[in-house]
Amino acid sequence: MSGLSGTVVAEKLPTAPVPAPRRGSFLPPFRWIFPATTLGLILFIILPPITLLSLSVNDRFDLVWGIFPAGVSFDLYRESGPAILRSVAHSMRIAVPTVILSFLVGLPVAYALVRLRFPGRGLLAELVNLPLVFPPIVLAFGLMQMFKQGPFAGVSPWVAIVLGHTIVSLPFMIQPIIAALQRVDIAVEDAARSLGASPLRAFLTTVLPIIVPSVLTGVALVFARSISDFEITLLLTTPEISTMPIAIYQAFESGSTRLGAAVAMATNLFAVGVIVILEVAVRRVRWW
Amino acid sequence: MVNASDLSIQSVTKSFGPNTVLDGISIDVRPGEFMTFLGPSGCGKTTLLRMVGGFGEPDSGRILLAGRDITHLPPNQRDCGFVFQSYALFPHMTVRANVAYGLKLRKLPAAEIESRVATVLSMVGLEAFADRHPKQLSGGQQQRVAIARAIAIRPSLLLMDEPLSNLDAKLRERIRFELRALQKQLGITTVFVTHDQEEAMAVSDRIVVMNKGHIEQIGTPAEIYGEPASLFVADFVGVNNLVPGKVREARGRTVMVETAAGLLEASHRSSSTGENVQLALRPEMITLVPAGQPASAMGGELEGTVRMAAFLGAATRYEVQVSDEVVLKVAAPAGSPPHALGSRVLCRWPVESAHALRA
Repeated sequence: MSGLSGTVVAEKLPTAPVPAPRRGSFLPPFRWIFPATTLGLILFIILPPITLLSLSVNDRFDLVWGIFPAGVSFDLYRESGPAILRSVAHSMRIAVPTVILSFLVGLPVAYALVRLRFPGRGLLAELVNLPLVFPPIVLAFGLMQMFKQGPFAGVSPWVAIVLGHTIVSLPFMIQPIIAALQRVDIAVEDAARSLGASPLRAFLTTVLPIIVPSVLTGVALVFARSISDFEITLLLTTPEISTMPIAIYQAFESGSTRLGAAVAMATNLFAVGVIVILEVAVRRVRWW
Repeated sequence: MVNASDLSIQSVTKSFGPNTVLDGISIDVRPGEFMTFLGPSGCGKTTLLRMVGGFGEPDSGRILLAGRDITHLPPNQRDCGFVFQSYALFPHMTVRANVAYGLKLRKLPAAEIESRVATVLSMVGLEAFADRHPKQLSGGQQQRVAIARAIAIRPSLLLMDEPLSNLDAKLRERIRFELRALQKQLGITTVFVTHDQEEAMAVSDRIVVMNKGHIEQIGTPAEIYGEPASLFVADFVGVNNLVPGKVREARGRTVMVETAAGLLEASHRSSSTGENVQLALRPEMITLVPAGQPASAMGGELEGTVRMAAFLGAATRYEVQVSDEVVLKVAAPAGSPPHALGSRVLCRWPVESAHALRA
């Protein structure tokens, strides 16, 4: 009924030519460009390790043909096995304490930055991010001088490296925890307090379990940062400490590109494995 | 079920920087009483409630619970159940674990915890939801878990900070009555904070009306409704006829007020001759009758013209022009004879429902 009367009205209207509206797109931006950029990205992430892999198992260096193995042999892996295992062990001996120390320092700092109001809060918030923008080599240089001749002279190089790694890793621990704490209702802690929990107990039983996924994200990031560190370790290390990046560097330095490639591939396999396990854990741990 | 305790708030003062949030507040809550702090946002009601719960200390004054000075005790040593506006449920725990949290901290035997959790969950009608997580519950159900968790510890005092404000209007009205019934059943001394005067009226034994850090009035809902002690209270609890005037003469319990609509009689508290006042009169206390009827002896009476009439279902709202400057709002109950726009009517009200309040 109403549709019919609508038609009648429309017929009475003057039939002036209406300019056709310009055709717009309903599609989101980057619709056409992103497959190309993604393909490029994937290629450049995948090509370097493939190159190294082919280098380490082939006896010739040819980016194009090297991918297709001619005479495959894992001799280099067998040969450098002990050195690879040693570097993995050394990296772990540094990465694990670094993760623990970053958590123990990062958690209270993140909590304070989110929940407390104190003079210098803004300054602290900037300070904890400083290692992200500070060239690591500058920091490493300063640390090296501190531990060589400053008040900390004589400190074990293991301790020095862990401290250096912790400083540059802290933002990776603090930022995810800050983001998580900002999403936790402040009243949750108050509720635990009113039900009889002490301040620490209230935090440990209510807030901490809620932010565990973000803590694990921090753990994965700090771990990755620590085992991939080169500059800080290089400047603070002694000949008996050889982390994975140092071992790769030493292998290249020894004159054998192929040996370096083998060490690089073996250690990276291990590193990627640990990170993948942590990532899976982050996703699984959300138990509610 | 709970041994009821009395709460005494004595001359509590609190400032944040230059702002005085609480200015010498004294309130006594009787054992088993449902007391509501009512006021607009920023009046200090939540600050005061949090202080009773142990979240903040007063600058001066004391808070006594069952005779014990708790002013400077941390919240975990106060024995107060607290229901938060956001519910503040523990998202990683089941409903059962949420309710059991406070009982586990008290190191009760497992069997006792289990039976107490079952009891409070059945009180709030959530037995079937014990193994769910808060995110799987509706807002109203989450709200009940928050109440169950707070009463499970059998606190001496139950504190509630706008617990119904996140619910939709229909649910809010239902839970009001459930809350009131539960509180009476438990006999637990309760302090409730709200900015909603209707909600305060519905649940409370007594109401404290607060404004800018001080108390405007303490009284039963009927007292707050029928005898507002100040202009602020009258305005806040929905008296929307305020006629300015000057006291001509005080006659004991009533005063004669000179207004733009003539000389009107009103009850008063402490007005003196010559004082500027506002005459407060509830729309629902005014009866409309067609003009020309004999004068009644019952109290105030003004003749005017109907300027506006709006049918609202339960009531019809009129605006009656009784003088050049004065328009009275009238709420006539459903079923009363209608009055046409422009007709001449008499507005009548009992003298004791008109209040002369200091302007």
